[in-house]
Amino acid sequence: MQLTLRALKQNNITNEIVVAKDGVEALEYLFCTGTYAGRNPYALPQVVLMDLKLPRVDGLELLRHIRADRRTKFLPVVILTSSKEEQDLIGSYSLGANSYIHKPVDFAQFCEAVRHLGLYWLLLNEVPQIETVLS
Amino acid sequence: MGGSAALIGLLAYAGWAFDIVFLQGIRRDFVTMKPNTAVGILMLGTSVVILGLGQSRRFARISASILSLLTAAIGALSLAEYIFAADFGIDQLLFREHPVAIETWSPGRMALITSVCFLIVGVALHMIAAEYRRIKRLPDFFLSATALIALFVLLGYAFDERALRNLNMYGAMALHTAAAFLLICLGSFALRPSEGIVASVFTSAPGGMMLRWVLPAAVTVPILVGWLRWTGEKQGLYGTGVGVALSVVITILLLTILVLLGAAKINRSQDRIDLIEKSARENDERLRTLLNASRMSAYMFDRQGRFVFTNRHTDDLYQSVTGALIGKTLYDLYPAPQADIYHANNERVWNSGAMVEIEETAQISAGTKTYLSHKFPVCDENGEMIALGGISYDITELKNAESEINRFFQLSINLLCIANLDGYFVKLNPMWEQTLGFSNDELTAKPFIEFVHPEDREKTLAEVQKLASGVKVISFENRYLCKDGSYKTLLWNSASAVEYGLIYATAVDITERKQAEADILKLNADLSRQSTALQAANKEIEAFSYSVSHDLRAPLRSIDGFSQALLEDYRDRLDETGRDYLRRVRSAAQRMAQLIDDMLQLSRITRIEPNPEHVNLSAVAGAVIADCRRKSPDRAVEVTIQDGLEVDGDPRLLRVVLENLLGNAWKYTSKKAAAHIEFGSRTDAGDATFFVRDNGAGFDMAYADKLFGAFQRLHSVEEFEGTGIGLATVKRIIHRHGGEVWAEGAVDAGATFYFTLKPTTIVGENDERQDHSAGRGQSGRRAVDAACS
Repeated sequence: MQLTLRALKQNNITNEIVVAKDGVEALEYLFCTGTYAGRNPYALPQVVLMDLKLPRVDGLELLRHIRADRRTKFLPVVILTSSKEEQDLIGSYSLGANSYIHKPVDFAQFCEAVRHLGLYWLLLNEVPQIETVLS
Repeated sequence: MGGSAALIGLLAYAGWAFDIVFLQGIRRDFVTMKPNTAVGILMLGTSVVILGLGQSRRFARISASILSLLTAAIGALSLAEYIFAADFGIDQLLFREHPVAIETWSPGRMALITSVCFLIVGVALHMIAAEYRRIKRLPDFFLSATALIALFVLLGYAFDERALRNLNMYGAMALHTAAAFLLICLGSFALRPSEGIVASVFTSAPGGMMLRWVLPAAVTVPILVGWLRWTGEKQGLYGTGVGVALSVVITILLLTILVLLGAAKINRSQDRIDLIEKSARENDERLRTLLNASRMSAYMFDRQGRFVFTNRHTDDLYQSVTGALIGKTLYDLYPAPQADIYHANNERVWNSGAMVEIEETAQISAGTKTYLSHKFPVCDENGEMIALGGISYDITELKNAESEINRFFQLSINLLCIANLDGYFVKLNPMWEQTLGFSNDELTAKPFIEFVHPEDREKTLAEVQKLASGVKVISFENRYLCKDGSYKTLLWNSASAVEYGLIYATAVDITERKQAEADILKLNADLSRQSTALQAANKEIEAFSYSVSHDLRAPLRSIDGFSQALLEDYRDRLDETGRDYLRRVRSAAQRMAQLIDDMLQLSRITRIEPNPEHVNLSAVAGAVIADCRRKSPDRAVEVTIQDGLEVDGDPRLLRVVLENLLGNAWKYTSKKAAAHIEFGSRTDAGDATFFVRDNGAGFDMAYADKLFGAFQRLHSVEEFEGTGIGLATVKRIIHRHGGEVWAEGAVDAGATFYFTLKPTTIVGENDERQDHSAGRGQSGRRAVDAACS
């Protein structure tokens, strides 16, 4: 996670980054419950980067919750994981992941991947406004 | 009669011997019986007695014959004396007679008529004694003539008429001589009751009856009437004219009455005969109709083997018109060898006089027929066998059916048997002996339950109980003892005929089938156990791979990432050696990541279900080479790819194969100035063999068998990078396609990798599991070890 943050930083991505240490925390943040109860529910991140192997609630379960909610249905979710397993790829895409990126071991390659990622999802990609979605 | 005649002769002889006048001539005014006559009468009488007592004996016939010839000789000699007016001295030979004997031609000589009678009666008796068959009538004629002469003489004495006694001037016949002749003639007639005149008298036919009725009267009536007339005339009661008229009328009257009575009697008897004949005819007709309607062949043979009767069926058999067979023999109908057999059968009946039941086969126009024949004697009223009767019943179809059923029984490869409800086998087909080894006799000697496996006896008896109540038994299994002590499992289908107390059963030896079933069950159990183990192993591998994917790689990434962070952030605080160590840490982590990736690919190949498609290998090879060129654009490698290499196989897997083989070639030619890589195919024994050839580093053939093992490398990482999993992956993919892979090469002289693919089939996952499960398990474990270390 630190390495991912480092890679983002090295690529001069300055957007606000919220880090959830496990699936449960991610859910609380996105749906403004628990420790994030007072958060504005309409303030959604531009993109969610997630691993599949997460403590407590795992990635696919988290994805299912995100896609099940009206509000977060179109929220871009990028899977960023060590796994190259076919079953993970299929599982992710079936549940509505927008992208699947395998993390290379070589940090230089990883940095390169994160650079492309930031460029694409933060600058190029467009998502519908949440108000439009809800109305 | 012969006896009384002989007695008369004997008495007369005695009269001469003792000079008794009564015995010589009855009365003094009657002529005497001459001594020669007495001897002749004695001999004739004796002869008749002998024949009467023992006509069938040879001795009797010969002695009677001699006596009669002697008598004839006496008669002939006396006759000769008259004819030749000579005296042979035979007249006075025995006794001397008074020279002036009355009514005698010469003293002691018998009358002429007497000598004639001796001659013909002697000849006649000789003929009877010698049984002359040619001239049966002659003795009758002689005897009748003599009897008439004797009657004449007797009447002469009765009517006291000399002229009658003295038929000629050559002496008269004595009274008792005439009586003796009459007795002899009657006796002689009686000797042959079935021949000549006597036969017609004693026959039961109407003629005989009439004769017996009328003849005595015809003799006695005229005599009586004549005597009455003569007496009446003598007494002077009436004159000659009246006497004649009276006698004629009375005679006519009496004889007419007798004849009328006789005729009436005959008519009555004829009516009865007609009635009997009619009923016999009707009976005969009825029997004939019955026999003709019968489907059995009925016939009768005489002693000479000629047909005397055939019924219609018999006629039809020989395609003969009714009655045409009569008089023919079996030899007219069959070839001699066949007829001999029937004849022999018939002779058994003739010889034994008892009925014979026998099976006969006959080759007739309708084909070969089998008959059940009853042959029996036909006897007359005396119990003498006069004919042979036979009734033959055509049992051909029965026999054919029987032999067919028998053949079926004998040839059946099922075990067939008939058993009784008492628990014994009655009949078994030969298959039993073949299956169990016990002979037929051994199997029928004991109750069948004793051959059943002790554990199966109870249920077997229960099935027998069912059969006893008429319930069929289907698909019942039990075990039967074999002679060698082993048991055979039999599958039974049985039905019973309760009314006969019999069980009819078929059985099949299913021992082998049972064994096979047991084997299959065991195999299936083994298989399912293996399959379960395999599934468990696969699950483990999957879980392992998944875990490797995530958990093993993440720390590596941390090692690499933080090493890089150190290098970047703390560059100025590290000396060159420290930086070099960190670079080595990164390099090792990356290598390990590569190892993990390759291992995961190898395990993934095992799990991927091959999906055969039409694949253009040439195109795939081109794409792989293009990839290589993109990755190392600075290298100049000459690549030759044969066009149009097309196969059926899984495109993803085949691409992995070519990536590895061409990738290796690319890698190992990296130190060659003029690198050359070739991909092509050649045809070996009809199957295409593909090859990838390079002129790179090559390898020592001594290690060729190690090439395809996982983690086996012939070069150090420093020389050529790599994990040693590529060729293991290739081998696995090729095997999953039913092909083979091998390599040729020499150090520094390049290498050639060959592989074949089964043209159309791809070995399914199951086959792969069976063939390589053990090996894969091991390699899987090795992979774990390698990953952990």
